[in-house]
Amino acid sequence: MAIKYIVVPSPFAEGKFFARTLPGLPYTLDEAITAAI
Amino acid sequence: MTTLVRLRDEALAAGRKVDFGALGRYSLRVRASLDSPNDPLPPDYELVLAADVPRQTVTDLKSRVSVEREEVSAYQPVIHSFYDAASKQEGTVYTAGAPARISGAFLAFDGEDDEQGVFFVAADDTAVRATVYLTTGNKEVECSIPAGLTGPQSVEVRTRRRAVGALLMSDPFGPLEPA
Repeated sequence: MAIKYIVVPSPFAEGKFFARTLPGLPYTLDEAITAAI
Repeated sequence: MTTLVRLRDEALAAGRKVDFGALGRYSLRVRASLDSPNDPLPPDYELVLAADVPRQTVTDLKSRVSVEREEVSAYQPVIHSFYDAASKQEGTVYTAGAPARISGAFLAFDGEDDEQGVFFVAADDTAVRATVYLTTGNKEVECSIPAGLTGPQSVEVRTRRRAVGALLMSDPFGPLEPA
């Protein structure tokens, strides 16, 4: 798995683009505790 | 807790959004500016860690922490070294009546004020002030070591700052032995 991003036009600078990170799958405390034991 | 931190970082590196409830929510964000929509991510892109700790956690912590002000002035003089010009020795000996150079920080003082200056303090706490000064800079003070000093002596610099008011004293430097 990796951090996913898309490229979108910049609303602040014409002709520029920026990377926008997409939210990943949630990783919860329960999942971490299960992984720890 | 170490394990939780490791698991959190592994999840973040894998692109997960970590939600540990009261322990906080974390996510990594890529930040980069591109000239074209088809450009690859530049190698110097920024990685931003966003963290959000619930307000209740901070409120609970505030009820448990104690906060104390340390009464140490930011302008307290500090002696880094003592150079005895007669023996050409650094930080170990003094020669009574000879010139000396003290290096440090916040050393500057009013040479006309008898409470301020360079003091030589014997083992019995007898303090003798140097009365002859060549320079009294913040980083360096040159003085004449008082004649007649005997035995081990530690050196102190005492200053007064208008903003602070009280007399400020360096930690004793030494002891120095007679050359």
